[in-house]
Amino acid sequence: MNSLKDKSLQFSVEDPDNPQNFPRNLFIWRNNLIGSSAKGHEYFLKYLLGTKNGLFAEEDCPNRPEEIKWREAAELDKPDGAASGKLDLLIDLDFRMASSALYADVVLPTATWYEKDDLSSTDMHPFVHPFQAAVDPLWEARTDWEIFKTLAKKVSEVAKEANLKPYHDVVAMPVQHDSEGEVAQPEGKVRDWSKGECEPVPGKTMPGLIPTELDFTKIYEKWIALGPGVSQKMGSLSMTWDSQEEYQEIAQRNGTIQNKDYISYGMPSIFDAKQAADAVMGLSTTTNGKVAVKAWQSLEKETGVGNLTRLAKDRENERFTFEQVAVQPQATITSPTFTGSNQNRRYTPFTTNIEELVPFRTITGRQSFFLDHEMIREAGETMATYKPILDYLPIKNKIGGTKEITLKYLTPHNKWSTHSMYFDSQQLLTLFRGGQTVWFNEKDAAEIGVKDNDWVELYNHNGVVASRAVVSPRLPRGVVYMHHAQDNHINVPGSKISGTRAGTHNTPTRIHMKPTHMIGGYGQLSYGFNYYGPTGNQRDMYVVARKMQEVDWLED
Amino acid sequence: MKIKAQISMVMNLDKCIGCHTCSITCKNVWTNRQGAEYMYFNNVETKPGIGYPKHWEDQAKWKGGWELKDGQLQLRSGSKPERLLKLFYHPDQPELDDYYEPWTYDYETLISSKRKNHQPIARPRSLITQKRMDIKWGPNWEDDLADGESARQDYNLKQMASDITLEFHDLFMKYLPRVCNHCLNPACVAACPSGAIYKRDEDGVVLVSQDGCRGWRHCVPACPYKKVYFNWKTNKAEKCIFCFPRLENGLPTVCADTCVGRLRYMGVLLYDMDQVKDAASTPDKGQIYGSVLDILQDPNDPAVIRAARKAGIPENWIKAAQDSPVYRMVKEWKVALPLHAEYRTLPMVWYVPPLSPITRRVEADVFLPEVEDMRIPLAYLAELFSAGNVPVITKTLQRLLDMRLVMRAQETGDPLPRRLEYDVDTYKAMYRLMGIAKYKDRFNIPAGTQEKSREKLNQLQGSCGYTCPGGC
Amino acid sequence: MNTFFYGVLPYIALTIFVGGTIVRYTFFERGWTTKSSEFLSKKDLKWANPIFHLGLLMAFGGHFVGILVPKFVTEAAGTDEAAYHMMSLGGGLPAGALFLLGFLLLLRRRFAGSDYMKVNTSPMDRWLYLVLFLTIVSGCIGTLSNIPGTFDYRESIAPWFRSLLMMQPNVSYMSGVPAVFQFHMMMWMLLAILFPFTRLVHCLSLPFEYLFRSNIIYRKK
Repeated sequence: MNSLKDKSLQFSVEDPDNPQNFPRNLFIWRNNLIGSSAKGHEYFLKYLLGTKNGLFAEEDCPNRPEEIKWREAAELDKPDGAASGKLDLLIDLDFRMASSALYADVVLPTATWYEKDDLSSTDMHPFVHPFQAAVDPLWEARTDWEIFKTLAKKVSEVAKEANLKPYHDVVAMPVQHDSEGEVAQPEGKVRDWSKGECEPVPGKTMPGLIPTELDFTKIYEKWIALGPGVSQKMGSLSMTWDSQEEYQEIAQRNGTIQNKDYISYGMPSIFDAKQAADAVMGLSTTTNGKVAVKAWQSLEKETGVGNLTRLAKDRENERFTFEQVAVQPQATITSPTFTGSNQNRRYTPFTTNIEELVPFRTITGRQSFFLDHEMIREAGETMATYKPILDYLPIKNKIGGTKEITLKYLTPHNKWSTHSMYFDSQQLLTLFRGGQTVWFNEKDAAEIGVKDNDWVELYNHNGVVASRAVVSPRLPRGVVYMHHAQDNHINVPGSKISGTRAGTHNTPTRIHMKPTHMIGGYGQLSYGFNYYGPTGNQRDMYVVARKMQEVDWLED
Repeated sequence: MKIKAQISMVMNLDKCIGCHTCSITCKNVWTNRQGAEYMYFNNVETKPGIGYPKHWEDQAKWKGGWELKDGQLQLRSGSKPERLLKLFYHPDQPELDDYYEPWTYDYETLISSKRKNHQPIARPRSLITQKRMDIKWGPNWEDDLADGESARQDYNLKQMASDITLEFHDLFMKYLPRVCNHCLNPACVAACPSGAIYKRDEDGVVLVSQDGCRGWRHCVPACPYKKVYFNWKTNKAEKCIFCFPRLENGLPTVCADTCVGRLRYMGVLLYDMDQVKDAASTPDKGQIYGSVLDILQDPNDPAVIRAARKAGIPENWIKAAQDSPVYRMVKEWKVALPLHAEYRTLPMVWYVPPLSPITRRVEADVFLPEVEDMRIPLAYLAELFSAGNVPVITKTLQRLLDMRLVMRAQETGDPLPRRLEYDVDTYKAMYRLMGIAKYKDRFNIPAGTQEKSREKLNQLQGSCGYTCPGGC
Repeated sequence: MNTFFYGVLPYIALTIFVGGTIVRYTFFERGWTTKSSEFLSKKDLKWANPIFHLGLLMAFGGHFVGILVPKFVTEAAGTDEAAYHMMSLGGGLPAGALFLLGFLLLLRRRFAGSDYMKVNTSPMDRWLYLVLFLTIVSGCIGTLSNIPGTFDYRESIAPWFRSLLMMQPNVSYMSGVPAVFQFHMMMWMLLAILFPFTRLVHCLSLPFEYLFRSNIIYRKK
């Protein structure tokens, strides 16, 4: 704590261009980061990967942050400027040679959905489905579970050979949603311990500090077992319950680790994916009736609201298994970890808050429109507020030399893909235009001399897209659509503007961090993984559109 | 009267979301092989649009289907001798570019590319010439009103008296999934010089014998729907086969089964074959639909049942006809219409026309729209589904509106509309079949007849099913 | 030499021609097609194909009369050699012109036309085009070179051919026949040998029955 106070120990985020703070290894798994999700595609290419990119934005800016260290380009070794190419190793688990695989250092071929065992569930319906292996993966492809297990084994072996000792680290954890820390900022006032406005107390006036031990020689032994962390107690949000019985049941069901030398000796085995699935379903409130009832009991105690266990009592004896779910997908048990009620009806959020008077997880315990936090007030958003689109230039100086038009940039979901999945399938590409498209209003297109199926460029300071135009009466004036996640590995030319391969739908975008998303530690504004926190908002973008002068395929 | 059975389909366009699942599943089962890549036995078009192949609806250009010449039915491509002269060159035949040049991609480049200065990509290659290709047209180029200039060339728009500009404030759009209609009076059968195309006696499915076809390719221009295709590899004609191996086992077609919107129905219709020619020869094209309804027989009428039995129609087929979702929608409720009946082929795939949102003109003043208040112009739908007969399409749409009003009244307690054509129970039954649309209600396809399969069973007994040298 | 080319080879050719065609029809009907390529390239077929086939039919008709109808029949009808020769030129020259013109148009279409045509052109098609070309050209040259009428094929080739059909080959008829006509003979025999293996089989499928059948055909499973 003293080191934090006197700044001899700092948070990584305070000095992002310090090589000590670079992200070094990245696994891409179950997503297409580079070709689809990377908001600010060209930024990722430059700063994360350090490769050819089409970024036009300059690093210079008149305002410098006060508390984040800004290192001038001259300071850094890299000729490109501020710390480009931070990543050392990019590993992609994929079965598609899309952009992420193209840019990865290592591609680990993975099994597709019908070649592996797994579970699937979602908020959109109340069922738990199995994935099942109908056929074996081709050639050297393996299931994700096997891939990570194999890596764990190898890393453990190498760690032993290198005689790596356990590594001690401290992880900062934000004050969690629905936890005691939620009341960290009384009256919604920000008190900054680093400025001495209050004492730094982990979990109260600052993020929690969790000491961790990383023993790389034991990763494999831990991977294949269900560890002690869930052997006594488990919890979710503000609820906790005893998990010994469930832990023992899983040990019974799955068998235990037999190797006496392993740190996990005697613990329940989760060696293969089916065992892992059974372990998950044994511990979860939604798939194990006993656990649901215990969780409801915990919530009763936390909130003082009575008679909640009846919401799961009729299903107390149910305990989903992989075999069961494979025969017939099961509807989940009503659980206090979400606010819906599954009994003979479909899930709607906030049902238990209304019907059972379980308090809303807000400052007031009620539904609220008004937010009184200091930062919210500063942003002028204490009530739901309309704010018009940010009005700024898409680029400092337009390129010119031909007719151009500035349009609002929108990226609706695509009918021809699920994000970038399937976009590159020959059947679906054949059913529309065979590659990337951007949609224009007819009059806007006429203004820049563009006809249907012409090649066009869309650019702003974040980069340039080179695509075929679809000219339609279906759009209003002033907008251009580039549908979601068309990636850029199918039939995308280079752009003379950037001098390299044109980009993806996330090339003209860039994340805008919204300060009000980072308040934390204040009732419903507390951080929760996948609940509340900074979003990847990247809209409110403009682009300049022009007819492409020359189509260069850049085969060199 | 000579009773025949026809397996028939209804598509409820109110529900089509244009997802193209039907096109993909059909393609992956039947036409993803060389020679057939460009064929879509099932395709989905966005209307307004010129469709696939281009301008297929313009019979002044393509001369497909039948016409009345001095009151007599004749194929639009002329008399039989005239058509024989066209063996050497058929002036009305569509070419590959009228459909599109099929392509694939050099995906291998992504995996095998050497280290390059710029990120590699997979580029398109023609499946015909195997050369690098610039993509200029596809089987669904105008999806969702892409290419407004093309959409405005829609033949139906041109036939309408009024001026439709298709501007942003005045837009309408719908999807039209199409398959072979397995017509009662198929122009393709009539045009085939070698007699290789035939209509199946048992279920009315129209097929091209791949052994019998000589590649005269007269069927291709003859079909006004352009649903017979020429296979450039085998040089024979191919078409939608209504998935007859599935029908024979009581299963619906692949397109109907996989339809995400649950908008397809299949069932048996009984019709009087003797009246087909007269129905097709109805002088006023707007009345052809009515004539076809007249030749569809009531499967509960004892006289019809007797005649059907006499004609050799099996009992389970008669039962299926009596419980046919298609019969209900086509003949009882009259909510399903034929596509372009004026081609006189008497198509057996029927369409429930779509309702549409309230047109912008009256948006502010109207809460529950009348048929005329809807975005898709009545005249446009009439061109597609009632051969220009606006009263017919109006009445059909009204029945669908009334169904909604009746169901709405159930929920809100509002009074029922006064001028209902049917009783409330009928509208509820319509809703159950068309709204809820359960799988088991949508398809009633009788499997192959017992007598025949029993015969085959006897033949197969004693054999091991394999052919081996020396005979097994 | 003559014995083989005019006494043996014709029978080999005709056997393959007839037998091969029967075998193809019986066991390989699936591949029996005109191999129409109008779908792949339409515009350049418009005149080429009708002209070609018209020339072919006219030439075929002329051959039928000239080869199969014995001289004494025409003479009995009152047509002497000079008149016959005029008539045969009057029909044959235009026939040859159309036939050759049509063929050349088709040749250009197939080998110097649309790229699409490649998928409709098999190796056997290439041989066929070559043999057809040589046959047609040799026929044309023969006709042109014989405008004076010095060579009477009705006293040599025709009776020889008829003697073949009657299974009593008389090769002596063929001695002294001019080279271009002999070459023409070799070509038809080569054509006959190739016939069952090419698209030419479509000529046996002329759909005459189409004129007499009902419009709609039903068939039981």
